[in-house]
Amino acid sequence: MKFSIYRYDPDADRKPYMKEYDIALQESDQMLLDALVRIKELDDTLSIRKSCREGICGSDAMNINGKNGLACITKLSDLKEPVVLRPLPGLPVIRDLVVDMTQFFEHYNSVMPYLINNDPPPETERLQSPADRKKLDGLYECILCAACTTACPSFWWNPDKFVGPAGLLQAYRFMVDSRDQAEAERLQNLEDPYRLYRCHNIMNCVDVCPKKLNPQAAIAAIKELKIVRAREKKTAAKQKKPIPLHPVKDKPDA
Amino acid sequence: MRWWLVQRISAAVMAGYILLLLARLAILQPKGYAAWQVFWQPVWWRMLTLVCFLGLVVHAWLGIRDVFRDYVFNPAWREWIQTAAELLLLFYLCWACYILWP
Amino acid sequence: MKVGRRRFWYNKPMIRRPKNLNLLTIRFPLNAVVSIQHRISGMFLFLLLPCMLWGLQASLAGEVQFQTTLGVTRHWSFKLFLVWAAWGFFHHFYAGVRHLVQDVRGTGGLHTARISSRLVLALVAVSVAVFAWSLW
Repeated sequence: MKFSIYRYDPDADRKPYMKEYDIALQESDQMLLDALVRIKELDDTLSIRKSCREGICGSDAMNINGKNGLACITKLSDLKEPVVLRPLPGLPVIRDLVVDMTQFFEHYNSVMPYLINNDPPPETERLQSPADRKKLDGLYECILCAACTTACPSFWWNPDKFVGPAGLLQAYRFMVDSRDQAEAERLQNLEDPYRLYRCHNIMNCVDVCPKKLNPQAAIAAIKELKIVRAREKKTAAKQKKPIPLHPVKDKPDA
Repeated sequence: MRWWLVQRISAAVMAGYILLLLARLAILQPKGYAAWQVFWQPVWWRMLTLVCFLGLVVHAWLGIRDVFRDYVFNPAWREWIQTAAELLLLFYLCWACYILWP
Repeated sequence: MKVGRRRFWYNKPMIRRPKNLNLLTIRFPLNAVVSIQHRISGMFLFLLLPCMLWGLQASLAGEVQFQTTLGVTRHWSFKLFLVWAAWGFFHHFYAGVRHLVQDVRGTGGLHTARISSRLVLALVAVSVAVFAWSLW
């Protein structure tokens, strides 16, 4: 099977180049990652990231025939030859198919991806009703592979300012969590022309997500939530009621 | 957030105006200069046109501001061309007023 | 860390590491195409604003100017230009309505978004065709 792979070694190469490979596959080689491992047996200078080989760790995200995806869950039989493999677009290349994800994780960190709850912890877990738990479906499954963020043109042009679909999906995941008390701060955190509003509903993120999640819907939900909360503030100000510091959320079932 | 909303509202205003314009064109079918002048005669129609143009100016302003924010990375440059675009739009607005009330 | 020289269009010194960002190697789905065309047509309409205002002014200035304006629109090259302008308008209009509906009702997932993208492109094609037909 024919492959064309992006190669760059910062110590040896001045510029990245494409290298062609033609390798014989064995019957057990079903996924793209199997083929990459086979190539690495022949040419051990090729650098790739991999770990779980089953679409859970998100290490082997790359641009496969122009579309971001995970090599380990991409079937070889679905790919057109020659298979063109490039690193994730828009992130600095460390070597070959390995990119520097620092910026990606900085954005992830900036949305406070952890539960903020100042109540004293109960003796058991903080309980959640099944309905509240259901709100997290489609959000918590993200594996942070960066396929969506690096497929987003808005991120390509403003990688230092736009949080990107993966980070915003996580921002929303904690906004809707019934146990979280920092919704207002989280919304305020995205009040900036770049961090949230560079999203123009292009939907490349939804197109590439290997976990079939919908970051665009989460971003739209954040935008809507901002409007809803601003309206509530306005009506509260009109009625001269004190504004609740934390929005009232459904109490968990006893 | 406010401007994000304003852009959508101005879009809706313009869409409404365009539908109204098409309807009026279809009903009155102005042929020739005299009919064309009559078409633009009513004060309410000129007011509506001005409202639509105001929406257009705001929409265009926010639209190109978004474009500049996406593709122009140097803040000083961005400020300059943004100001230039704003002045241009302001000029268009004055021009439109002049056309409607010569 | 190797640091490159400051570029005039970028306010930070660039770290000299390549990025894979050759747009020709990236496959763009239909939704992305409709979205970028919305932006392109928007910029195009912005540039057309003075022409539009000038046309309106000339057509209302008097009998003679009105006939001249009509006369100009009868030339084939100007008709071609008008068709192009109509593409810009119709695309921006339909794709804009799609965006508005998406903002109000949600995109409804990838499948729905693809269908609406196709719908937008079809409507644009039909509208431009009808416009061109009525011109000639």
